[in-house]
Order: sequence, then C-alpha cells, then structure tokens
Amino acid sequence: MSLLQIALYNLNRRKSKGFFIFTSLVLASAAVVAILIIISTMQDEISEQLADVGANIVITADRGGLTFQYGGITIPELVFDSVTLTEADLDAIDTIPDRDMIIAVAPKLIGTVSSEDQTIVLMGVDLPGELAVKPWLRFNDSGKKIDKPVEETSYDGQVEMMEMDYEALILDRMVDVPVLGNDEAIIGGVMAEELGISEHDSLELGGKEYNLIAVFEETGYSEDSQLFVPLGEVQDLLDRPGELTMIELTADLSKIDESLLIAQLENALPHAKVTGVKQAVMRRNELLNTIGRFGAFSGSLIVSASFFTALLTIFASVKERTREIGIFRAIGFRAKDILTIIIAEALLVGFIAGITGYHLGLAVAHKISPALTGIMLSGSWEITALLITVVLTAITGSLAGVLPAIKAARLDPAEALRFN
Amino acid sequence: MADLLIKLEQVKKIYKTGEAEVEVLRNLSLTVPPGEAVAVMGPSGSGKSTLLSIIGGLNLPNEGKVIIDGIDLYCLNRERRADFRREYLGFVFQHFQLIPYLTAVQNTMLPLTTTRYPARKKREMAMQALERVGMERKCNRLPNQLSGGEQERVAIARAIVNAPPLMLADEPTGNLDTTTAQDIMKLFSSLNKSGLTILMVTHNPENTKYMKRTIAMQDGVIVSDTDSLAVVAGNEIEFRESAGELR
Ligand SMILES: Nc1ncnc2c1ncn2[C@@H]1O[C@H](COP(=O)(O)OP(=O)(O)OP(=O)(O)O)[C@@H](O)[C@H]1O
Ligand SMILES: [Mg+2]
Repeated sequence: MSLLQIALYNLNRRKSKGFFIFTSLVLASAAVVAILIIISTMQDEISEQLADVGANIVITADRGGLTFQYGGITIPELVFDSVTLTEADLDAIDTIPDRDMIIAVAPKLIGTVSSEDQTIVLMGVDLPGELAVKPWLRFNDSGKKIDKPVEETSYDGQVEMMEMDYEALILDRMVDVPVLGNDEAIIGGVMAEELGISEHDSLELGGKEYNLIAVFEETGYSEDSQLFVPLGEVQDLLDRPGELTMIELTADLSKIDESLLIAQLENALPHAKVTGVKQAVMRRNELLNTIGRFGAFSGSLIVSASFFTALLTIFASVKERTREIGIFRAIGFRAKDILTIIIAEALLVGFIAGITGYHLGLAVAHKISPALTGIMLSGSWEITALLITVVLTAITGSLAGVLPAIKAARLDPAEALRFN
Repeated sequence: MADLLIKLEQVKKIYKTGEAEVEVLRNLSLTVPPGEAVAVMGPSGSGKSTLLSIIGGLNLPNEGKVIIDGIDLYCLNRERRADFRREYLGFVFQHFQLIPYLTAVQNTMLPLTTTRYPARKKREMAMQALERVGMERKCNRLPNQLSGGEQERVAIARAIVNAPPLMLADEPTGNLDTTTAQDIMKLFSSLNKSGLTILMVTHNPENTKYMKRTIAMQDGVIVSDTDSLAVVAGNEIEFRESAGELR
C-alpha cells in the first residue's frame, strides 16, 4: 500500500466531500473554458469587423497653417489645386526600411472640373489602393470582376497581437476589385443620384467620355459626392502630370510602432507632412482589451470562489480527520507523508475535475452561448486546451490543499489522539 | 540492544491550560529491561497515558531524559522521532484507532507504507501479523464489519507488523467484555514470551496477571512497583488501595 492508495481509499469513502470539491472545480473550469471560447470568438468577430481600419497614415504636402478634419483628427488643410507631392514620392516611400509594414498605398490627385453646370470633385486614384484604404466603399451592384489578384505585397512576418492578419483581410477584399480602364470612372452614390445617372451611363469631362462602370453605395462620407477616375486621367485633365494631392497608407500597426513608421516616412519625404490616423485601431484594440479584461475578471472571480470552496472543504475534512492523522503520525508517518496524502487527494480531484470541466465548458459554450449571445462559436476540442485546463485545475485543487495539508502535517499527534 | 530498553530519568511533564499549570509527571524515573511485560495502573488522571505518550516519543517532557534502546528520544527532531516510532514501537490505542476506510490487512500494512519493501512483501508481512493474532481469514473486512475484539486484534497486528522491540498499549481491553479481554491478554502474554517488550496501561487488576511486573501511579509519581504475581496472589487489596482504585 502506498500514500497514493491511502488518498484514493479516503476519497472513495468520503465521496460526498470529494464530490463537493470536484463539483466546484468542474464548474469553475467549465465556466472559464466557456468564457474563454466565447470571448475569443467575439474577439475574432470584432477583429474582422474592425479590420476595416482604412488608412492609418496620411501624407500631404507640408503647408502648415490651415487644417481640416479627416477621420476625426486634424490634418493640414488641402487646397485642391495646390500640389506639391509627386509620383516620385511613391518611389521614396518604397525606400523606407520598414516598407514591408505598409500594406496598401493610395496616391491621389484631387481636383474639380465643371460638367453640365455642376462642379464635380474628381478623385484621381489607383483603384486597388483606394479600395484598400477605404474599406467602407462598396459597389451598388456587382462591378466588373478582376481576373488576377491586384497587389502582390510580400512580407513574411509573423501573425501578431490581435490574431488578425490585415494583409490577408485586405487582399481578400481585393479579389473583387474591378479594373478601371482609362476611359472609365466610378461615381459616388449621392452624386449619381444628383446627376441622375447610374452604371453604364457615361459622363463627359474636359471633352472626354467616361463610362461609369460602377456606383458606390452611399456611406455618409465625402466619397458619396466624388467621381473616381484613374490617376493619370486626372493628371491630364488638370494638366498636372506626375503630381499628387495626398497619399493614404494602410500599415500594419500591430507589428510596428506608428511613430517609428512616421519617422521613417518623414525622413524619406522631407517636404511632406506625415500624419497618423490611429484611433480606429486604438478603438478596436480598446474594445478587444475591454472584452479580454472582462473575461479575465469574471474568470478569476469564478476561480477564486471555487478555490475557496475547495480550501474550506479540505480544511473541514482535515479537521474531521484529526484523529486519523494522529494515528498516521503515531505509527511513524512523517509530516511530508501527511502532506503528500492530503495534496494527492486534492490533485486527483482537480485532475478529474479539469477533464470534466473542459468538456463541460466546451459543450456549454457551443450549446448555450449561441442562444445567449447570437454568436456561432469557432472553438473546438483541442488537446492542448484540454491539457492546459487539466493542469490549471489540478494546480488550483492542489493549491487549495496546501494550507490544510500544512495544518494537518503540523498536528501534534499526542493532541490528535486525545481528540475524541 | 542495550541492557535497559526503557530508561526514564527524572521526567517532568507540565500541562498548561490557560493560566493554570498542572504537573502531570513529577520527576518520574523508570527502567524496563528488554523482554519485560509491565502493567501500569492508577486512577484516572494520574498520568498513565501521558507517561506512555512520552515513552512513545509523542509528547515532549518539560524536564528529564527518555532513553529507549540507548537513543535519547528527545534529542531527535520530530521527523526522526516519527522514524523512531516506525522502527521501534508498536502502538495499541484504547479505541483501536483503525482507519475506517481501510480493510484489516490495509490497516495492518499502514506502518509499512513508507518503508521500502515491495508491495508484495508488505502484504506478506501484514498477513503474517494477522495470522499471529488469528485474523487472517477476515483480512479483507473493513473495521465496521469486525467485532470490538476483532478490531483489537487487527490493532495489535498493526502494532507488531514491523517486528518492533517494544509495544505500548493504552487500555487495550477497556472496551471489551471479560472473555474477549482475557483472549487479548493471552495474546499479549504469548507475544511477550516470543520476545516483545510490553508496557500496558490498564484499569483492570485481572489483567496484571498476564504481565510480569505492575507499577502503580498516583498524581504523577510511581507509588508501587511490584512483581505482578504478588498483586494477584495476596496483596491485591493493598495494591488497589495504593493505586487509589478503591478509594
Ligand atoms: N494536552 C493536555 N493539556 C492539558 N492537560 C492535559 C493534557 N493531557 C492530559 N492532561 C491532564 O493531565 C492529567 C493526566 O492525564 P492522562 O491522560 O495522562 O491520565 P490517565 O492516567 O491516562 O487517565 P485515564 O485513566 O483517565 O486515561 C489529567 O488531569 C489530564 O486532564
Ligand atoms: Mg489514559
């Protein structure tokens, strides 16, 4: 017979006490498993929704003085027909050390032309880049399908922080980008309505006909009243070859510090003003963190409750077993043998509770939470998650056994045997 | 083995309960040579159990020395004393003190739990001890499936399983009827004949005839120390008076 067997026989006899500890540990580990699964699913969902971050860096001509609002932050005022950026600046961007961190580049020339008594705001764009930095833009109907992936951004950095891959998400969205030919344009929803034109109509600008290949859905942003034409066309129309009004960038700021990237850009473009538009990312991170903190908080609350339940129950059972422990000591068990018996019991219960709790938590998360939260869960059975749950539950159980076990090991055998 | 198995020198034990101090053993000295069987008598509260627990290394005396087989017991630390108990002592307690969730043979094996014997050897030793007390056929019963006398036998088997030189028994027959008590005493006597030194606390003068020597305690001192035959033969009344039994 071994100490472990003594622990087992005792558990077998005191089933109700063991079951009490077991139940509290099972409930705690199940609750934590369920919370973690639900939270990580929620975080994935939010990550995906908020991946539509859009541009987070804007490069403009450094004019100082006047400013305007863009995405909630203040950047220098743009005077539409004053241009100091050029396409050469795009090459300069390519030279910065962390070019890999920039996922999308959207150069544009903005200007106005008159057409049929209307002043039209012209956006000279590189369409794939533009759509990448303005993820909120959607076509009213299906636009032309593109036959090859648009932008081949290459870097092989690790997937990071918030378990999302900007690049993958953006490339994913790029699959449906239509090709914008030299005589083609896309029109904002509001402008299309005002002009009473739509897809497949054409529009005359500076004596040239442009076919409208698509209409953007209304978004509430300024794009609603803009006409998107290939960059080269606008440069010709406005007679500003090679010039740009601004360059919007989407960088993966989960991998690189924004200020570092901005410093590199400022260095490469000394005449330009580089501004970070980071609050979208911050808002997303904050939301994810809040949810994470909530999960950690409720999880630790539940675990502490179950820890103390186990602790008190084991204390009670040690008190109940005072005489028995006295006998063990009297017949030559060492203090560490008593410690071993009590902790082994807690460990055993914790071990089985961990296995049960993991499966219960998984089942609860999948059966109950879709009804409660409306989220379909993605978490499935995983051996590592099971092992982690089992190890942590067993540790919780045995930690709850430590204090009572020390108390038991310190019992004075003479006293314990007097205890009737 | 030293000449004197048990040697107590001027042992003093004081219990403190709050402000009050009770001197339970007053400079008690006692020697017991190996192979002896000693009955300890005396009125309730005279310090018999305290004496036994001090000899058993369970209870720190305030003064004096306890030397068992040449080992100065209270020079050892608590854990060494536990080792000492495992190797030198068999305890038989008043209320049997079997572990309720272990069978007779498992209870008997308990003192071997932390020894290095292989499991099979442990079981073999336990079965031998149970045979010695006539309990081998009920070895798989739980304590609550055994009579008082049977539980007592298992407790004795547990005390002798590791073949210790000394057995300490505190009122081993206190809860048993006369016939069963006699059977147990005969078992003690036969264990003693095969070399086991026994120190037994008892309230029953009848039991003393199975022991070679009887000492009587009162208020923490030994008031008489005689050959047991004398107690049973003629001086019983006198002895019992001195031991305070008939007061
Ligand atoms: N741990 C203790 N704390 C305080 N007093 C104690 C303690 N243990 C024993 N005593 C007191 O010491 C005295 C002797 O106790 P002990 O148990 O040795 O007597 P005993 O001779 O075995 O009596 P009995 O025949 O009733 O078993 C008693 O008065 C008892 O109340
Ligand atoms: Mg007593």
